[in-house]
Amino acid sequence: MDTRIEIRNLSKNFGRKQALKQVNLEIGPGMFGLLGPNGAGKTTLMKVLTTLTRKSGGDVLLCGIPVEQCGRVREIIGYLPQDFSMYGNMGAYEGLDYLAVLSGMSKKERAKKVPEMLEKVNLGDQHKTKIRAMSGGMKRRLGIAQAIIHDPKIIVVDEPTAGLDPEERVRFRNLLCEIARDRTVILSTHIVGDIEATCENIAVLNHGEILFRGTVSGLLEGVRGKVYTMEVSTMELPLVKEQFLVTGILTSGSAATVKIIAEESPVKGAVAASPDVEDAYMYLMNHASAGRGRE
Amino acid sequence: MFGTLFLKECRQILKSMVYYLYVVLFVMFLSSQMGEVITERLERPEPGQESYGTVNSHEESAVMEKILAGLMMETERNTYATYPMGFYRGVTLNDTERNEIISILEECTGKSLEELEREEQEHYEKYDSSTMEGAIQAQTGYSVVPRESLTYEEFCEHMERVCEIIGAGSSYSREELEAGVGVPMTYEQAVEEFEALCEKDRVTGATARLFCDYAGIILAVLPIFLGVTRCLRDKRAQVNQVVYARRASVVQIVGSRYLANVCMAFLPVLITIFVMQMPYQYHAKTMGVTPDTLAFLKYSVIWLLPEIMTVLALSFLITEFTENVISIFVQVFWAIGSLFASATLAGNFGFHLIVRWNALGDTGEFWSQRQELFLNRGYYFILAVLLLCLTFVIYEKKRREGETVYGKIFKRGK
Repeated sequence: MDTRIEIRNLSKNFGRKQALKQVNLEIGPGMFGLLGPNGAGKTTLMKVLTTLTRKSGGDVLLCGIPVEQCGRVREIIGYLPQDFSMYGNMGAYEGLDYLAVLSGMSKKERAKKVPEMLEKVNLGDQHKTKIRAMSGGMKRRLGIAQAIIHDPKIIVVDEPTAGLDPEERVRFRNLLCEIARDRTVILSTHIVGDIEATCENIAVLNHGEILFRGTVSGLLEGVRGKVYTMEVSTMELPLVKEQFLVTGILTSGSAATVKIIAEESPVKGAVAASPDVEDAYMYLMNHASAGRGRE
Repeated sequence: MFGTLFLKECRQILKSMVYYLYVVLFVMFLSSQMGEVITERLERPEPGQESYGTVNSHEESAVMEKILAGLMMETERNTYATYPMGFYRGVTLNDTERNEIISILEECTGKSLEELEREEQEHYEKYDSSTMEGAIQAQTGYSVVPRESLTYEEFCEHMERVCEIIGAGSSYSREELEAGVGVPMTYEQAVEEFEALCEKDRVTGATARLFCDYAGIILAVLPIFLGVTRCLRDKRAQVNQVVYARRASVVQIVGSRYLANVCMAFLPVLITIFVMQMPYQYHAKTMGVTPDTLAFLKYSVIWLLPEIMTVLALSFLITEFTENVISIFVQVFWAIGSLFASATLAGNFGFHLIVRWNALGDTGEFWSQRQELFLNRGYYFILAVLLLCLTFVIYEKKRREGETVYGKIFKRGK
């Protein structure tokens, strides 16, 4: 089963503003993380993939189908938008059933799949709960149920964990990993922790351009040997922030332990530390903005 | 998929407060207009009755007599009724203008104002004007005979001048003259009318027309609210993107919503006609006439359904385009304009959205204008389909462009 997504020289303009600039990506089965700050162009890319906005240039193929063939693409894609919502007066079952009808499912299929999906997302006992009465986490889980109910080959999930409490966030990540076993799931987020916990293959997008494409370990490799921790007094913190890229501060009384990224050991007493994805991401973004500054 | 979506939409409408408000307002309006069973005009006329009502006449002599009578009465009071924008406005003339009107009256009749006043007084003295019935009979029977040598063309030219003096929307315009005038019916005419009522209308047909006349007024406005509510529901619930990304085609999504709204808007009409036709069916049987049990249904489908379809299609189109409630104002403006644009309360269907037949009976007259009504309703049916197709185009554009068409225009305007 072909579940690959091929993006070649994709560009999208909104008037004079270029939201996507010559984006090239190839995404295979499993979880794929798309990381980037707010306004990087992630949502625009997601909308192009889900036929919700036209591309200005380039080619996009989903499972071999050009994105221009909207009808066929919509059959193989499931989408959970950033602000998923449904008609508030509908119950969970009714809302999911309505969207299943829009996906062209027969009555028999719906009778089987709707309860099954609700069970899968832990809403099995919430059939009649009105959507307006649901918590953010419940809504998001219902959102994932509607995105997979018609068994799509590709699932696009845009900022799914924003606003969720830690417990719901973990539960949601696990759910995503579970459904990614036999299909392609693109997770777009600005939360590094989500990517770290779920994806091996990632891309980093900034100002409409791909800054990095590879694996999480590849991203970490770039910052290896450049992360240090050191003890400073809280009085010195402004100076440290000015001189180095600080990725963490832990204060204790008048002293603080800071985690910094530097090309070489910054001061005597600085201890090399093992990097995490957040450090690697910050390093990448810092380099990119420095590069833009030079341009 | 279409059928399932249609049923789901109907169920959603049934859960909507706006729909129940629609039903209540519709029923209240109809009850206020047709709450009482009117049977007095559905009786066989007897010889020697004081009055048999009026009949519309397009005969030139009758038109001249009644129009001159109206002009005489208004000139005496020096207050002329006009409806320039559909609303009443009384016009009072200065001495020079009034004198010109008087000279037109004298020119048309060959009599002085004093003579005309005397004739009018003599006419009114024949009736008991202290009762409502007497006053109506006196007014219905009053006419002013034009001079023998006055041709209809000359008369029309004089009336054009009268219109210029009084202003727009008076009773002397070319359209008003062409609409004909109400003249007292003779016994023979009344019998002929009654027989047409029994044979062609089978009683219920006449009452169905009156029902459609009233229902048509309120249905030019009320369905807008259903349409606007449905189209804004997706925006309010923020479900656009989820719906857009699904397999269903625009015809299936918008078409099922539209059809569900049309059916649900027509449902109270069906229920109301079922209840309202019963006393008239009973009355027809007491008259020895077999009633047309499907008359209300036939008239409603032909008369009211195209109107509901058009109003809903327009509200769908404007609301999908603008994503706000502006279509309510557009439609209310259109409905008021259509209501007051009609020259008469019965007939002259033209291309008015609201067609009027505010008369119980006048079977012969209606039958002669029936084709015009069919043409009018056919036009609105086609218009509704075209508006719906345009809505499909706009919805599909929004679905693919990723933002509203309105937003794009608005930004470009800036």
